[in-house]
Amino acid sequence: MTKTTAFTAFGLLLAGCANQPQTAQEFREAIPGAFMGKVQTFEAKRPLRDVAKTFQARAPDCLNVSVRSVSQSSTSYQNILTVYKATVVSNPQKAELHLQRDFKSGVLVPGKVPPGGLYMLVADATPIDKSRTRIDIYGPSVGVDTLVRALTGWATGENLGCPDMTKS
Amino acid sequence: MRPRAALQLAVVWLVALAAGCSSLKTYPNVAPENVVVRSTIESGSMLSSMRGSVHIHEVDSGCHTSYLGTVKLDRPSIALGLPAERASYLVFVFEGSSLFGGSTSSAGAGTLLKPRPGYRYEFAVSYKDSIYNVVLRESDPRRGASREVPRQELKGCPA
Repeated sequence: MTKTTAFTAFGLLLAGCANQPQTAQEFREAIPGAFMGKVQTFEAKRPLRDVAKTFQARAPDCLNVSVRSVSQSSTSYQNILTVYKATVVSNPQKAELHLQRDFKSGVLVPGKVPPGGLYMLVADATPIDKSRTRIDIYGPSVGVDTLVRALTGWATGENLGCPDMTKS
Repeated sequence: MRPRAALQLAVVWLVALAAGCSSLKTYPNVAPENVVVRSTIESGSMLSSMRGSVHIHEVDSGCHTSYLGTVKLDRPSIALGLPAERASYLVFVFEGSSLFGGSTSSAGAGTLLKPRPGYRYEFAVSYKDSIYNVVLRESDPRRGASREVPRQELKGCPA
């Protein structure tokens, strides 16, 4: 099963084959009870403002990308164009990173797709104290390892590289 | 051409390459060689391979791009020349292929660069464990000073 297939299956399960989450908040609320949904939490030893600054700097560069994946065998051919959209919202109390995924070709998505695409992942950064930040990542339990590692690197400041979105 | 469109185009080229109908051509180098690309690319798996390349486009005064050629990042250090005081748009692409699955995929990052005369530019390109980074530094050999240059998207192109 490809990761795209896995993510599509996740979306269907999350939506119960009905309404897709239309906002980041709806996505947050849906994930804990969803099959293949997962909430990951970790602590970054950096102030919230630094984490927010890194999210704002890296998310547009790294996540606003288009990916075309082609796979073929003797009996099948798959050509999928996916456009990702990252949104960072921050204030002194919280920084949020929303990632949406819009399948432009090769995938049929049932239900209403929110503007910008299906919600794929939401990361919330909130202060623990002046020098530490709590990160909560809402997303599927499979297929986003690379993305979560990248977000962890950004939050901790240890690796500012971009995730290869063909692996997400 | 906008960055997203440029990247899509790069991806289409890679797909075409895999299909044996490539429209890619080797970048015709320009003297002097004022840019060095240092790359470390690791696939992280014995069952897949990862290749890097950079597609080079010239950018006209209206911020329109036209493809000039491609340089494969198949050596740790590659020198190339970009015309000074003229904007170029460089798209770094990492193409992965599965040894058994017959699949290809690619990811990439684009940046504008308008070299200053007499200055040297160095791209540090890395791909490891599915995380990639492209960092550009500008140095002035006459003064020994250097600085990191932030990525500039095509939409920020000064017309």
